[in-house]
Order: sequence, then structure tokens, then C-alpha cells
Amino acid sequence: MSDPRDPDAGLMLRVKRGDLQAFEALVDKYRQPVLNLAFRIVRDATEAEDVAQTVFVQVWKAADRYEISAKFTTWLFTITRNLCLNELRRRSRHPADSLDETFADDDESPLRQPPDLKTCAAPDELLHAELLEKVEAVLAHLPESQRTALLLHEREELSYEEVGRVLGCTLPSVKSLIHRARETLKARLKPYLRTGAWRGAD
Amino acid sequence: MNDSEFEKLSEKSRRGELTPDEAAEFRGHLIAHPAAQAAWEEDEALAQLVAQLPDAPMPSNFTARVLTEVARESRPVPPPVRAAWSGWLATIFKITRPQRVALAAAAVCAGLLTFQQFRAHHRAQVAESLAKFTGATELPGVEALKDFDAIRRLSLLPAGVDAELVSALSQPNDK
Repeated sequence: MSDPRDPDAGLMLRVKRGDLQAFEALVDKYRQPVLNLAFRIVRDATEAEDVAQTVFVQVWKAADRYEISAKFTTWLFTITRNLCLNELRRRSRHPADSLDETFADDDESPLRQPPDLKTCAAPDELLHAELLEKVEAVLAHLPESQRTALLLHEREELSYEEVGRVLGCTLPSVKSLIHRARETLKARLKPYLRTGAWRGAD
Repeated sequence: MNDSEFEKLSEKSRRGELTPDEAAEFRGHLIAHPAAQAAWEEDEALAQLVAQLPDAPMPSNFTARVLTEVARESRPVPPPVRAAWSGWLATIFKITRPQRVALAAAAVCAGLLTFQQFRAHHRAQVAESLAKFTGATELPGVEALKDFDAIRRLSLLPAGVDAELVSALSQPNDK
């Protein structure tokens, strides 16, 4: 019997029986969140795409091991993070392999605002866009565990307990990671706080 | 309200899950504690900024690529080609362990027996050859072989060896 709190449980039950349509629906629904998380962990657009693809292939192959009691997103992001960590370990053993690694404050970053927005946008929008770039840059320099915990909690709206299951750590550890990530971001973004751009984000 | 309770209400507020009573309690706490309110507002603004971060670029054929890979992984793998001898090997490994031990012992005994017979046959062949060799007429003595002509003539002797001649050649030279 599927968990009424988890709408994806029904789809996963069908995937367990080999239903490709249900699997495709899950891919379409979660490909962007998975890719977003993968990109912000591995910091490389090409590798993030490969990781994200592998995540869903793993979901298909491991469907028989999925337990209905676990929330689907918790399971999905656990696979995502583990594959990202594998990629980071592989890269640390072969540092020359990834030559097109992108950073949020790099001119070539795929997440940078397009130039026409910069020339035509109102000052508030430009300031807001610049603020988002700064957030991206600070995030990129956080330790991976803090960055992942913050992203899962703030962006994917996982609870502290669910974040703990993904990261494999206790509830106090998760709270500590998120607290430290927030404090670092607030400290680095203080100038924007003074200009009011912070308030403009509301 | 302690920190833990404030945190719980803060989380529920973020998810829009506060009951009316909880919302009132939460608002009251913030008004009574300006520092907590300032910190909460900063956290809320930061959460909104993180939520507003742009999406990573998504390839248009992402889902298609995943489905292709899944189809490839799901394709049945043909069974490996087994050599003909693996059939009887499999039969051997199906028998019990004592049977396997007995079979191995029998194979070793058969091998030893065969080797012994081979050696015996080989020895017999060598003995036969040696017998043929030693059955030849006694060779002349060394003194006789000093004479080159005598040596040369030995090779010209007909099949029926002149025993008298050979005897003469084997006698020491009185000269």
C-alpha cells in the first residue's frame, strides 16, 4: 500500500513492476532537481549531466530494493549525492581529467545571466541578479556537506531528518551544517544586506 | 518558548504548516524578541535567495538518453558459449566428494601403472638392442687396430666372417 504522504510512492511501485511509463514520469518530474543538486556538488556541467543520467539508471536498476516506507526524494537524493561523491573522488585521483570545470563567478559559468538582461533590466533586477551570482559563488566555496545540506533543506524542502538520511548523519549534525552554511552566507553577503538588495529578495 | 520549540515552529512556518494557534504563538515570540526576529528574517531571505538560484542547463534529450540507457541495461545478455569439455566437467562436479576422490585415486593408479609398463618395455627394447650389439663377433684387440690396413679390411669383411682371420688379427704381433 503506498504512503499517502508521498505521491511518488505509487509511481515507484509501478516502476518496481517494470512500468517504463511510470519511470519516465519520475524522470521528467525530478530530472531538474537532480541535475541542479549534481551541478552544485560536482561544479561541472558535463559531469553533472552524466551523474544525473546515471542516477535515474540506478533508480531503474535498484527499483526492487526501494522500500515504500522511505520517501522517494530522500532515496533519490541519496543516490544523487553518492554518485556525485564518487565523481569527486575520481576527480581527486585524476585531477587533469576535468578541464571544463565551471565556477559560479567565472565568465563562462552556464548559470550567469544572459547579457541582454544585464543591459535592459531595471537596477533592482540587476542588483538581484548580481546577488544571486554572489550566493552561487559563496555556495561553491562551502564544504560539500554544508552546501548539500543547505541545498536539500532550502531548495528541495527536505526536513532536517530527511537531510540527515541523505547525508548519513544525525539530526544535530544536520542542524549544525545548515547553521554554519547560513552564517557563512550571511557574513559574505553583508554588503548586500546594507544596500537593501537582501530585502528586495522578498 | 525555548530554542528547540522556536526552531520547530520556524520550520513549520517555512513550509506553511503552522496551525492558527502556532502562528499566533510564533508571531508573539518574534515581537517579544527583536534579535530572534532579525535573525529569522535573515534566514528567511537567505532561504528565498537559495530557492531562486537559476536551474542548471537541461539538455533537451535528457529523458530520451536515460530511457535509451535503461533499454540497453535491460537487454537480456546472451548466455556464454561453453566449450564441449565443460559438459563432462560439469558432470564430474555433480558427483559427490568421496566419488571424486576415488576417481582421482583411480586415475593416479592408472597413470603409474602405465608408466611402469612403459619403463619395462623401454628397458626390454634397450636390452634387445644391446644384445644384438654384443652378439656381434668379438672385436679385434687394440694391437690389431693399430694397423691401418687391418682396420680398413675389417669393414670389407663379408657377412660370414672368417673366424680364423679374425683370430689371427687378435693375436699379438710377434714381429
